[in-house]
Amino acid sequence: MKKMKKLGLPLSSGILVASMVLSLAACGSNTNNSENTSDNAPNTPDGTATTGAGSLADFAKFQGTKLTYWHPFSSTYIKSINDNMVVQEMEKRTGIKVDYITPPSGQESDAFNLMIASGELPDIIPDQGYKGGGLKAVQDGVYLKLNDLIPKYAPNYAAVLAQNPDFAKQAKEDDGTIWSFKMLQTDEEPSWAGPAIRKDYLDELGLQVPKTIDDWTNVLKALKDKKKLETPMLLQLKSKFGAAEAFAGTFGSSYSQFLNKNGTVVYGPIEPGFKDFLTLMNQWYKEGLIDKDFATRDDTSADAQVTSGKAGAVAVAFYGSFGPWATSGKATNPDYNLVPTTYPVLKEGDDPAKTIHVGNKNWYSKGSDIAISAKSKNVEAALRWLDYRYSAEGFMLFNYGVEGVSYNWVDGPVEQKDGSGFFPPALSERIKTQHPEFTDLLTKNPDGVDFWTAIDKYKSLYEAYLRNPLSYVMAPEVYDAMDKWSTPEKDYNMPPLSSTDEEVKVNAEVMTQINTYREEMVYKFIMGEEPIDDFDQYVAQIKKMGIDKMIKITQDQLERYNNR
Amino acid sequence: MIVKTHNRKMNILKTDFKKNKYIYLMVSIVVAWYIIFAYIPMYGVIIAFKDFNPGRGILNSPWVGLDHFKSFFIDPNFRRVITNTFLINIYDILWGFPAPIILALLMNEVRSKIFKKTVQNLTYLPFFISIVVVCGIIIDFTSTNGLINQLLSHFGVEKTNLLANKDLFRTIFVGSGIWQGIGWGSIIYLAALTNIDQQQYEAATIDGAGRWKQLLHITLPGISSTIMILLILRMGSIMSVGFEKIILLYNPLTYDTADVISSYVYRRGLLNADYSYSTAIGLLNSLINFFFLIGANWLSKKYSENSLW
Repeated sequence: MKKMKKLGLPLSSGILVASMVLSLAACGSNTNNSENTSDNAPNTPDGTATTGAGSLADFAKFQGTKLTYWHPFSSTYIKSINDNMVVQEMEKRTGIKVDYITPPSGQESDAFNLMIASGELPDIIPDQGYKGGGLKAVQDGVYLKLNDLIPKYAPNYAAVLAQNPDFAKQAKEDDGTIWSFKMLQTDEEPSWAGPAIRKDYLDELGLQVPKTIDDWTNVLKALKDKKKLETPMLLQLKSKFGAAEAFAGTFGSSYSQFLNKNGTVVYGPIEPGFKDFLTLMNQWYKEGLIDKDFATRDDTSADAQVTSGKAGAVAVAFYGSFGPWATSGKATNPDYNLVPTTYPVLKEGDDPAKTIHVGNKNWYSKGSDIAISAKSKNVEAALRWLDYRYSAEGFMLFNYGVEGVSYNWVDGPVEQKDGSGFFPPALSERIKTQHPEFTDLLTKNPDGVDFWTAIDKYKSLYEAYLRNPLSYVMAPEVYDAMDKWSTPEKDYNMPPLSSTDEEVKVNAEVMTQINTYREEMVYKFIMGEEPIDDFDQYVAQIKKMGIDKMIKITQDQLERYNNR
Repeated sequence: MIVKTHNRKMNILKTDFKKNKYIYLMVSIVVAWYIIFAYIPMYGVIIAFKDFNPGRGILNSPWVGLDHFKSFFIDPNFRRVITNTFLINIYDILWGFPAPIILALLMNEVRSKIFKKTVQNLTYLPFFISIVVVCGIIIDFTSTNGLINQLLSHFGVEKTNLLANKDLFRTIFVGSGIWQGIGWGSIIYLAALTNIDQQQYEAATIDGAGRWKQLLHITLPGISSTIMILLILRMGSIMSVGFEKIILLYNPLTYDTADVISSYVYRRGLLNADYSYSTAIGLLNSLINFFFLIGANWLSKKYSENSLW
């Protein structure tokens, strides 16, 4: 006992000194910052109304307050979250010290469930799929219900939700419960995935960029026979963007999703059109027009196929890939030119906007929910800290980083391609004459990393905030891609639905069986191990496994969503 | 009388404790480890009979009886995953179990020290490569234009993706397992080999036994108890296949032969955070393994002198 007391004294006094130093530091930097904001003030005459409420003044009483934040993180550029400039700047501006707990990369969902099970919860929790959904977490007393707290402590978030009834609709549960801060985008984000093809190969062969399915067949044949390509087209069924969707969509079906066909829910993989899609894929596989190794192709080797020139086309590419692919592709072949194509159509003259139904519709709410622990002792601080990212200043900080470091305001209005529609109203006047421009730290990084790597340090990590999805430096191909891929207007995609506990249970039971069977059969149909004529039996089997129950559930969810 | 014998026993224990107190001290750490990390957490298996929700905790989650077991038994994939798990293990025992023994015996016969050490090191190395990397190598080698197909095409075999062929999955799985584990597995046999009395070999040479006869009549019987013990222990995991390697190598085309209990539970349980279901299957698995272990031990006891207890 004696020994312990002896030890106790210096320890506690150490903490005291440390916290004093911290709060001093916080005060110091805060005064700095208020100068900064007052600097900006004249430029934002309209801004005061929205930014005034819930701005930095409210943080005065939280100087030195500590919050814990469980936060998945992985980067090849910075070592820890604390090296991120936005994180550092947030601490300076608010005086709130956030202690980040980082789960092992790649095991986030396991670590998340362990954390929930342990009962020792941090103040701020980015949801990784609480079993039964966020509403269940509120009922279980794990997450805090935020409905009453948001008007009080999160005026900026409340203001964003009030901008458009659809924002609010997508940010809450069916019964109106709000349990999280969501990543919000106040305009329609362009599509970020679709097919792409090597234009330089086409030019060499004297061919046009394909539009119809027949065009595609001819082009792929030419790529195989004349260009002697190993993989005329990559079809990465394993990749997370569902690489078959662009072509399955042409036939009004889907490889894996439930579709909202004018208010009626159908299951894409048992739609009649899916049989036509499988027939086409089987034919292409037999003729060697699609990747022979599609069943085992992982992302890394898919990248290698594209950059080495072995692949002539990609069924579905992510727009962020164009830059890195071009860099390594041009290193070996200076003519390398991968261009996006419109989603394929059935007949010449068909309008892609009318034929293709599985596009990549982006909702205003992109999820990435951040919840607050029901056990938190710093509820107000946590809410205000999270709310800051929905203010005009927070918008600039999270999307562009720190002014003078990662971006500067320069003359010339913000163009639509740079996301003028995503800016908060408080900045609407300013962006008519000025636009933020990223500095050399991001565009010509002294450490030699490219823009998409450098953002790990200078922009916010991908999490809930008021986001401008176009606040990136993008290659010309990317803007081209957004134009071409965004043509499917009439869209069969589901809005962000929420499930009841019971629905989650049925889903786990029914869908694991169906997915196992479906994947197995689709692969076999494509490879010809199973004759396409058995499609009807395949549909019957999926029905036997209980797909109707799931369609009913999804229909209910859609109706509940519409009635929100 | 009873009290007396009891006292005597206590006395024996006391003197023994005094005499070997450091050994008791050392063993206490191991015992404590088992109690804390192996026995206390065992109460957690009750979630196999509950609808466990991480937010409510183990004790407050509602009871559901045998629901999870029932839903596994009526699952259309039940028979397939049981068969696959069993078969992969049978093949592994048939081919994978003798492999390190043969390697150890071969190594025992090698006289050149440099050669022996080189081979030993080369066969150990794969054991230390992460399973993710090993599977990446396997996928690369077995792809349509991969190393194996390039070699086979010289003999007129048509190039196909080997991992997309369900008939080859178990061969690739067990074969790569042998490649990765053979060196590591042989260590224990090499250790057992050093325990054989060298005089027996001298005597046998005098009696005119050649190296083959020596191998059959001295070396093999010398390590037979080690082999039996390891075989019994191996039988104790006959219903277990780790899901990592399976999910890295399989694809929907090979589900027929590759989908095992653990990979199915992974898709069903872990991806959906259905821990109760995973626990129930794990418990079932352990039970079957336990009976196989007991059975193998009983057989071994009956027909040889070797047994675990």
